[in-house]
Amino acid sequence: MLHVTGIRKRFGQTIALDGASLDVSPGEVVAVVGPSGSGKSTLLHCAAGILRPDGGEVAFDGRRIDALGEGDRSRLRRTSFGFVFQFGQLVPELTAAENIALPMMLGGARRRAALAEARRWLALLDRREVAGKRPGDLSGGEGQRVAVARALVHRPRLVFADEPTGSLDSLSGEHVMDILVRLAGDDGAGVVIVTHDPRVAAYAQRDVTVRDGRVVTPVAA
Amino acid sequence: MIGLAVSLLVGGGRRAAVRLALIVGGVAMGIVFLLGALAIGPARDRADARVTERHSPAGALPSDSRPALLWAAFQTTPTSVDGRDLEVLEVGATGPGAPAPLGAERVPAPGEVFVSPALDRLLRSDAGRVYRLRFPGRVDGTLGRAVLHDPDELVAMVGMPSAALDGATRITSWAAAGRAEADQNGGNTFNRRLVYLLVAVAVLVPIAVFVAASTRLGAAAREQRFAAMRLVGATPRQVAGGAAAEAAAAGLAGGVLGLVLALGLRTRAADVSIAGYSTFPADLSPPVWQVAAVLAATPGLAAAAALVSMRRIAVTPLGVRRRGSAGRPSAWRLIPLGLSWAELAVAVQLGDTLTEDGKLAALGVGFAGAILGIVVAGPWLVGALAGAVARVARRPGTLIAGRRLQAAPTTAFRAIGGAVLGVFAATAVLVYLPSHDHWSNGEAHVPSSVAAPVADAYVQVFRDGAPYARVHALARRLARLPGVEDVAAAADTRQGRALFAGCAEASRVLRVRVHCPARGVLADRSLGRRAGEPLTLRGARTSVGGILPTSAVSIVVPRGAVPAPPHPSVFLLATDGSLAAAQRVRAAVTASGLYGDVETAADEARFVPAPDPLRRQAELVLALMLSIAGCSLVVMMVEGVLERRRELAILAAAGTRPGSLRSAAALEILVPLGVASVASCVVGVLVTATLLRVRGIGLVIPWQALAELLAASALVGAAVLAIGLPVLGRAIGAENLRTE
Amino acid sequence: MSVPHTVLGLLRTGPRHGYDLKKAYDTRFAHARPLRYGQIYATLARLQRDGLVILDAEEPGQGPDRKRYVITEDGATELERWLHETEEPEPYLHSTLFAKVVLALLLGEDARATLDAQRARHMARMRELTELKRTGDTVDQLLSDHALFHLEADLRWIELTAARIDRLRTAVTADAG
Repeated sequence: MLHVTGIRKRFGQTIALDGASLDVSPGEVVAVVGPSGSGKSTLLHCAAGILRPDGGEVAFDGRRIDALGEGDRSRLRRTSFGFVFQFGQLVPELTAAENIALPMMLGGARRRAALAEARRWLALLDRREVAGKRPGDLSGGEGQRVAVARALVHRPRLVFADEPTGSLDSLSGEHVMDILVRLAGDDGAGVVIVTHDPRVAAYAQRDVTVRDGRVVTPVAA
Repeated sequence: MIGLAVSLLVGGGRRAAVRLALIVGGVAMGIVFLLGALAIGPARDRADARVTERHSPAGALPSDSRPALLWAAFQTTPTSVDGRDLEVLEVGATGPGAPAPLGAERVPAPGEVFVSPALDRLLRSDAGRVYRLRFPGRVDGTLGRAVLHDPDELVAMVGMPSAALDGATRITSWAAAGRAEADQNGGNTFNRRLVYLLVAVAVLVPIAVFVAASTRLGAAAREQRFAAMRLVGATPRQVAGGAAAEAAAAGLAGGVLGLVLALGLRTRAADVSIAGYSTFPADLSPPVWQVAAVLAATPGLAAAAALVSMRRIAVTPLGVRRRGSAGRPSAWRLIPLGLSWAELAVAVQLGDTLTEDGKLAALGVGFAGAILGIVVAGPWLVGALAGAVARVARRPGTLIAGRRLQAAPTTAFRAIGGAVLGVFAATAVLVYLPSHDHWSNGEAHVPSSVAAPVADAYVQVFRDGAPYARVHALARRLARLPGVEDVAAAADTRQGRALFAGCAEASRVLRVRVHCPARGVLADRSLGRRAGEPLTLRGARTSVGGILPTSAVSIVVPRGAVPAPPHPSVFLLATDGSLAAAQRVRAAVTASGLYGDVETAADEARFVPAPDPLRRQAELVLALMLSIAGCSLVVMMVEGVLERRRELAILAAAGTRPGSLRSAAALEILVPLGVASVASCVVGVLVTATLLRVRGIGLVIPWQALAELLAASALVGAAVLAIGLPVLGRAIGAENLRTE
Repeated sequence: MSVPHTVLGLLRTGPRHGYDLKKAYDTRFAHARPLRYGQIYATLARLQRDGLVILDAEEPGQGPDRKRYVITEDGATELERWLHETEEPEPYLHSTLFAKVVLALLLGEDARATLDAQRARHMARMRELTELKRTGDTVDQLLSDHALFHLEADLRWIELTAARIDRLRTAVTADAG
């Protein structure tokens, strides 16, 4: 489904990616691990079409997305991808339900329908009661669960998660990872998780290591 | 403490530097306006005192036989030059040793003309050369400040033989003249100073808002530094003291910068025209103690404001908490506005049972209450409207903007408060003036063309005891002037506005065929030409009182041919219509030494109605308030975007159209600005309507002016977006996704 | 950790006397697993019996210290096999892993590949346990958690060692000199 082949990216003098590759099949959960500064977040940004790589190819469903214009990539991210970040992704002034409804509204859904769907997702998360709360009134774990719902609500084909449990305690982190992997699996969506935490990476079916801007392939044991 | 303050001032990078620059700049701007307001009152008083002295200097006692200066102001009607008056003073000396006239070193000899610098420039210009013909003599000197109101004034002092000035004021010494009269203006002066101070305050409020908005720049980073200082052992008092010292330093810097700017601007005062005229720099000197008080109070006030704002937050070593939640503004905030309205309604009901002073007091309270009411009710209105917008929003941008405004309506309103008050005040002025004009002009609204004089030139002389021979001599001289084709003598009847003339003479001078039927003829130049035939007079009294505007000059030709009056006081002239001929006519009247009222069509055609000074002042203040409010909005918008750049970058990464984010940011500015502008415009109309009713004046709504006012407000919003939106474009870059 | 394989590894760098071997072992591995003097000879005897080492031509002199041991072809094969085999992810693994990394560095082999392979094996085990935790009952979850935390500790050590491999190489080869 997603084929990233030999992409390079530099920021000024710093080489962030130096020929990194990554493949994700439908329904597959892949962890991207590696030390900080290794380029794993940049790999995610390039794979998701947020950044345009300097070289190499990124293909999604056979379409070169690195060649698309900003507007087309934006639409692709809005319709086919979902995103979970470490923090700061919820709009603080919107309620939890409105935050979840946001991607659907961005996709042109009617407000009423979007909010109903958002409440259904909160029920799925067993967090019906937070619908009217604002992100500032949610605990970190609740906030991340809302964020997961927001990333999945518009049925994306692929979900990108960058340190999704980075600011949570172990138990909350497990809950978040569990619903992310479970709900994405229910929909048959692929998941790419960038993490430095092996316990998070263990939720993936396989992991790839990024080191010095390259993906290191371990020799088969 | 000082070290702490310095570290606060210089530490913190570029945003802190921008913040400091904005605060110092804002304070400096405020100081400039305050010093200006303090200076302009005394300056105007001095200028007005000079004009009073120029027009009616105290003459010498009849018993004083020393050589005297003969001083005749306003001998002839001022010429209008592009909306400004060209005024001619006639002076002469009864003998050597007479005191020098005001603004000149000596008495100009007969045939000599001294001119003000602005007039000198005019006479030297190609377009203004024709006005040299206005003076019987040659330009031979320059007039100084002592005789001028302002640097732009067009004044000439013409030297005359003493014999021609027998009606003039005799002055043997300037020392005793004038002073007493200038002081009689005391009450008026007080009112005017009060107005200037109120205007300054009206400008200072948005400036204060701007400074307050600037202090929010980089607030998060700043508060982190406060917390860090607490962590290394600073006490809350030390932190607050540091912040206060920082504010005081910024206030002092702003004060000094403001003083320097004010001094710099003072030298340019002659080039800057406020409400129609400029000022001599030398006039602009507020009392030193006032300047000192302003400069001394600024750092103190800044420090106090900083301490007050520090009380609202709790600085702990682990971070900064806001004390007490802001809470949503409730509908109770409408009460002051309602009260002020009720007060005005009561005043309307009481109507004429109130004394004039009672009415004034009621109106003053009502007006001040309305302003306070707008300030108090504004956040509620913004919050309520934002809530409504968020409830019905169908697009994500609208939803986000609505919710953000709903979360902080007070902050949003504060930024636009200056603009809103400006719109309110301007609405009041814009509605009041046309209503008042309409009322004072009576039923008939007279188009200006009707006011044109009936002949090419009209000269009325007031003999004032001079022999008739001089009047006749002037008539002969007028007839001989180049460009003058005919002179008809007439007699003044009513208020100098309607004249009786002979039928044949009137036909000749007016160049219309005047039939002289049984009941007589009313000849009006503009009406006669347009209709192609004369109008029948229905009766001299009716026509003068009922049809004619008081300012128009008409000629009534009565039943039968009446011969020219033996001692005419009015002359109607047919000329070639040139400006040169008009100036020669004026010069001839001046040279005659007679007190003359001169109107010429050539001059009138060049008349540019001067903009209403009150309206111009209102527009100026509004423009200032709107631009300062615009600056506050830019600061607020930029800070809002920078504060949320990670959130915005994440939304953009998740595929949100940049257009949606832009529309959210734009709506956040435009919704409160638009709504509050319209609301304060409506309140302004309503309050002014009540005010007019109390005074018994009918309401005239100047729709176009109000539309322009709202357009100006919209323009400010557009300008803010033009500056702020590029910042948003930079903030949504992927580099802001990084977790620092 | 496996003492016989460690001894084989040390012999792979060249023939050594028993006394040298003990000294080489002590500098690098004594803190991981201390060895009594006699144990070296017992181990060498067992390796000799299995044909993995042989005695070098005996030098003149007396006593056990005069014997020099040499690794055989079979010994080298066995060493290779052991070095490249990943260990079963289990608690208290680090001494073996440490020995492997040091020997790999000593022999100029790619120690990082060793670590990467081991890391992959750990991850696979963690995935199994995570799956068990997500599907199993509370007891399964608690037991999985315990194992997962230990594995995570190993994994972090592996990652840290990988990050510091160049410094370790310098240290190990300096000792060998």
